[in-house]
Amino acid sequence: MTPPPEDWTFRPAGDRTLVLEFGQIIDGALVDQVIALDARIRSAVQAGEVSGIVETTPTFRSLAVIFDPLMTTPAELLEQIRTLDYQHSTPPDTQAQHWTVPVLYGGDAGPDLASVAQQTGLTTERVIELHQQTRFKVYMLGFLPGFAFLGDTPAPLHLPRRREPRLRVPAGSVAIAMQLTGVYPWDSPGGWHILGNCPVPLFDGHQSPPALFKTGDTVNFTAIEKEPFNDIRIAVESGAFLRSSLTGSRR
Amino acid sequence: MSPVTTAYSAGITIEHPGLLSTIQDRGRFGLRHLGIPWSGALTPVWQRMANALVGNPLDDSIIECFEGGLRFHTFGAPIRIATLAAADMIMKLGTTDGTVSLRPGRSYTLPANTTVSLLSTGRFRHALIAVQGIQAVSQLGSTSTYAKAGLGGIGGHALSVGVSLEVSASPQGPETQCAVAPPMDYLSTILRVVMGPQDDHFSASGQEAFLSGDYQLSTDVDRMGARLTGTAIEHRDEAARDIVSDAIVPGSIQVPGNGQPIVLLNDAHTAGGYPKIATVISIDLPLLGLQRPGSSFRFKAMSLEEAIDAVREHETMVKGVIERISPVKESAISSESLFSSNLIDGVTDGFI
Repeated sequence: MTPPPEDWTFRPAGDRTLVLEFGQIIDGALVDQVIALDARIRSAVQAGEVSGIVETTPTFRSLAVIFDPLMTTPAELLEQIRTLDYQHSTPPDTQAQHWTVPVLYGGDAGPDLASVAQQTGLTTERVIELHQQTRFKVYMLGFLPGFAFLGDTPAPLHLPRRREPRLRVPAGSVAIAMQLTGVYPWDSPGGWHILGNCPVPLFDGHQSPPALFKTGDTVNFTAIEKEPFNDIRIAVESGAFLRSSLTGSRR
Repeated sequence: MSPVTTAYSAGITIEHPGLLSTIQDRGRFGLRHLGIPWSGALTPVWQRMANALVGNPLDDSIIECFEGGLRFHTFGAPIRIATLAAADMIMKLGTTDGTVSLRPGRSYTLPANTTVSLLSTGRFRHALIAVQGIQAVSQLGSTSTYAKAGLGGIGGHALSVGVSLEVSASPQGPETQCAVAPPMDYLSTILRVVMGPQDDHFSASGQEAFLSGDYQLSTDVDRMGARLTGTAIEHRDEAARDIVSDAIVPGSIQVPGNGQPIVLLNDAHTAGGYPKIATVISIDLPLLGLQRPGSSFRFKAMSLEEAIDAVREHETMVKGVIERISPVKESAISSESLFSSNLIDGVTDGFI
């Protein structure tokens, strides 16, 4: 049986990376294709079906396959990848998890909540409600270790980036821009609109995996008040907080 | 991550870390999908050679230090070190007025309580120091320091005053030296590239400018990347100045709206939204970490097949150099007569 023609275009990225490009836009359907091919390649590597792959990096619309040029050639690798039927496989070890993540919206934790309400013509309550109601999907991680790009933010909340980026967006900030929501694992510069803050660490270098989310996971944000927010902070600092308390049923 | 324990109590203690000194190994692989870059030595060939000189596994941890200023002393018992750097580096036993010079490309056994000062890295910006049996703590599969996420190194940080690194055993085997210079011209002015993945985001004249112009290394260069300045590289149109975020690897050449190229290095983020006109091939990347701001480069395009051939040929040469590392007949440091004489015997004069 001949596998179906692939949905991607090959683009070279130097002597050790093949970029398999599925499209050039942000679209949940493209992300699903990227995740499916990534999962299939990972299982093929584990099963020894392909050799010479170092690792892969999935993004919104492409999969970077990094290889060892001493062990394989791009032509050989492309041929092997083309034989993998990824559209009909979901390896068990790459199953997505669902997370319910607490957020303190507004106030000092969400300095842009009021301006987002103003720019979208909604009340702040409605902004929080819309954001909370959405079941987000982790489209990709990048920019910073553990930084998750989530989509899609509900259409009434779509705004371009802030005209004046902030030099310091505090760690834990939950922010929106365009159709995306991001959670900042680290203090960093940033131009997104900050709606609130999540007290749970998004990255912990002493855990494996270090990042809370992985590409393909689903996330709901749930509003909490200042007191439980502080309680979680204290639990995190004392090491009593468990990530597993945030995971719900598997998708 | 249990603390390192060793029966042999010897090692080095940092007296001054210099500009930036970090523990690096080959890198932290397999985590780019979580946004974690490789890190790792900017000049992997030197890393392997330095480790070979002290008899370590080639992928072992080394100390990467920028410019002069690193000073440390040995403690406990003798240890073995080797430095890879430009031929004109200045490293002395003792402090600034030390009379005994160490040279690159050779291993030395140092008695306990010896102070070593790297006074200058010479014509290149960094040097690598290997220590036989160095003990470093691995985190997420690597000892490489990535301070941004607090990974690797010493508690996630660069080396600082008072930090000690222990070794696992007393020096084994004879001191060694490189018989021939490294197989790489790190003063080359050519950066070889494979075009893409977004070369189609640039106009024909933009691509021509990229491949024919001189680009100077700016002062804005660190372990994350190097900004170069030269003839602006024109995008195809306004819309082509941004892309939906796509993977970045060390070597990716991003061109933001101002048309000036940025070459990403080991600590760069794993994805980004600027189009990438081309990728510098892996074996040419050390030039950007080694050469000084103001150095001028030209980009030269090659096919993917040619790039793979070049990398394989390079690997063969590196292996040849490592195989030809040979014992030194007489120990330089323990032989008292050499303390007062010039250690440079000419075997590797002209090294690099």
